[in-house]
Amino acid sequence: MNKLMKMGVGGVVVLLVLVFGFAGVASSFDDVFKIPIISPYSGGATGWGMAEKNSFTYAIEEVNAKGGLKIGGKSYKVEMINYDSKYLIGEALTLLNRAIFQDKAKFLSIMGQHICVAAAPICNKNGVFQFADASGGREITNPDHPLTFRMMFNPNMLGSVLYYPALMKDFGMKTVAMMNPDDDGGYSTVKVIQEKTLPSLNPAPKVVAIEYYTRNTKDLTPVILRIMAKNPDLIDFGMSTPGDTALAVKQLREAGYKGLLMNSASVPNADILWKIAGPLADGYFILGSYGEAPTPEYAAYEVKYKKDHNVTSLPSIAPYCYIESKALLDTIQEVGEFDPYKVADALGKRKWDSMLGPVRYMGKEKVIGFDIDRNFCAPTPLSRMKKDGSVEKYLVSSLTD
Amino acid sequence: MSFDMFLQSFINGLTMGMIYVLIALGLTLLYSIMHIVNFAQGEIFMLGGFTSYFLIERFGMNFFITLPIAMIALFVFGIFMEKAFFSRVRGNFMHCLMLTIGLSLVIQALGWTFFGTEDESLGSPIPGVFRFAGLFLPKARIFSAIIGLFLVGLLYLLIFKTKIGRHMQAIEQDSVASELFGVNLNLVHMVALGIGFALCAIAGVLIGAIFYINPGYGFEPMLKAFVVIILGGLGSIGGCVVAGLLVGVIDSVVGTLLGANLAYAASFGLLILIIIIRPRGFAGHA
Repeated sequence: MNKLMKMGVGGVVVLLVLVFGFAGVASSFDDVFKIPIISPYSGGATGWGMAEKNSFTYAIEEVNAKGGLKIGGKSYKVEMINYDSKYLIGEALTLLNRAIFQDKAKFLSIMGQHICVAAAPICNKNGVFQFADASGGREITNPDHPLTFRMMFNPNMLGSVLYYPALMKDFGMKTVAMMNPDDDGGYSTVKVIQEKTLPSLNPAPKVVAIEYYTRNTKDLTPVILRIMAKNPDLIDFGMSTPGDTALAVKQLREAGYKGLLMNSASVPNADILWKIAGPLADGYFILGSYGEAPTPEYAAYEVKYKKDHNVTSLPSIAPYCYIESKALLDTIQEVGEFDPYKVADALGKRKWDSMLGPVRYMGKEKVIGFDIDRNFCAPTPLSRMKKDGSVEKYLVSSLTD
Repeated sequence: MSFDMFLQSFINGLTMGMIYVLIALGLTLLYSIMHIVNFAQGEIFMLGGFTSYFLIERFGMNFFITLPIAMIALFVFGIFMEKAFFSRVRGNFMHCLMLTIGLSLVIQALGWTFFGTEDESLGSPIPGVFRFAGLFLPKARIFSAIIGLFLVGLLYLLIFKTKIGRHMQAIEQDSVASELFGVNLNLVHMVALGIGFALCAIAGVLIGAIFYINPGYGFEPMLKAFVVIILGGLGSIGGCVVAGLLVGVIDSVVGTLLGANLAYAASFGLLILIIIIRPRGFAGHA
């Protein structure tokens, strides 16, 4: 072997030693535990998808920093696989099939009520733990879906149950118009408010208009004109995305509507509302957004999130996603197995203190009526946006009260 | 529906219709001169909006200055696209079609990647509302309608009162004969594509000023634009204007009277009817 060839072989050997040596040094984990997150990273619901992704990232980084999950004598690095559902059912279900049958995932998260309605039976049939980052009702959360945990702090009727009475008392609200996207999420929100919320209130506001629009429609003026013709005291955007809500708020105020505005079944991001509607968002009731931090931990989280992601306000769902993803990983560690059923059973019974206060999964209570504790409940604020884009707390209520 | 409500929705429809006219004019120009059905028109619309957005956000430019800049930028882009791509598939309808579909997918993918996935605003550059006689007219929509009318007028003058416009008309009638008579086909195609892109770009900016922008926001207006050019007649500017305003009004009035879903059904229903009864549209060539 001539000198040049010897040098070449030697170089390759050194390179291989370095590569595998570094790999060995860098990887202090024995294996990887992957969690697919199927959420919108494009389109009108992107704000929610990114908030969830960022929050999961924090929880995962914390667990990995402590050596990952230690299960069965092995250490597992937790990794997230992000799939963009575009908030479309077809797209999401294709990705769900991929996650279950290709990625062989046993734990995953999927966002969107209209999507989770279809996803929950699939996950439960295949023994896959599912975080349903969705509003909605019994069609998602019920004893037939023991592996489905609703991440949203309240199902789609509780925003109205918790806060319609306060608005009636403080603002004299007597009539309400509902404006929802024309899909499963919108239809079930209207249905559940009519069938659960209104019968539980005494007095109850009168529904004077129910309108639907196609998601991502830009010109909402026709729908707005129909609603304004009925002169409601409150317009409830129900399940509308942040982008759609912001446009509706802007166009309503331009049209001269001066009444109350809120989403009772979804949590728009204040910064998106401000970006699109500007000062016209003044007075809008924003569910899930605190004016000031309820705990020092929340304050620290808010500062970190805003700095890391260059946003002016903390997305409402971010704390919930962080708290629950952390709780899931902690529960898996406590159970000591990647068994979705055992983990679901343990998580359903878990009660803990969080940056929001005392939290747990509920559902067996009569007012919720799901017959299984799979709905995340936490103190939930209702705040108002101000002309300068800031948010001022109006009231905090919770089913945990 | 009260008369006030009808009038409000009618005026709203006219203002939105002018936006559809701008996008559709670009499409119809490309078809009549280059025989291209441009499925990337929604993406050009989006590029126009984002050009304005970046000029405002990165360079602090005034919105009104970004309007002509976005038009010029996309005009130049159109010339580039003609030289680089469309000239190579000239005369082959299927290849042109596939090229535009491919372009649409590429530009959208690049858009989501580089422009991000969040909805962005052009900052409400024309805030406020005119109110009179119980009607409300957002100033941004009135401004858009005026710009639209102005550009339609300019296009009319270009086509019917300039040399390049006469060459465009000649090519529309017979491109081979036109070339034999000394018309510079390459130049006319470049100008046509540039104008088509520029008109669409400004529509994207105006819609951004009224609503918001994201890399996918061009899809729905493009769909409406296709309805407009078929209703109006492929290649007819006058037909395009009438059809655009009609589609805008139908969307708005039917939407207000019967709901958003039926508004969709009404415009597409009219499209189906026209295709069956009068396939060349209101004013298309036989």
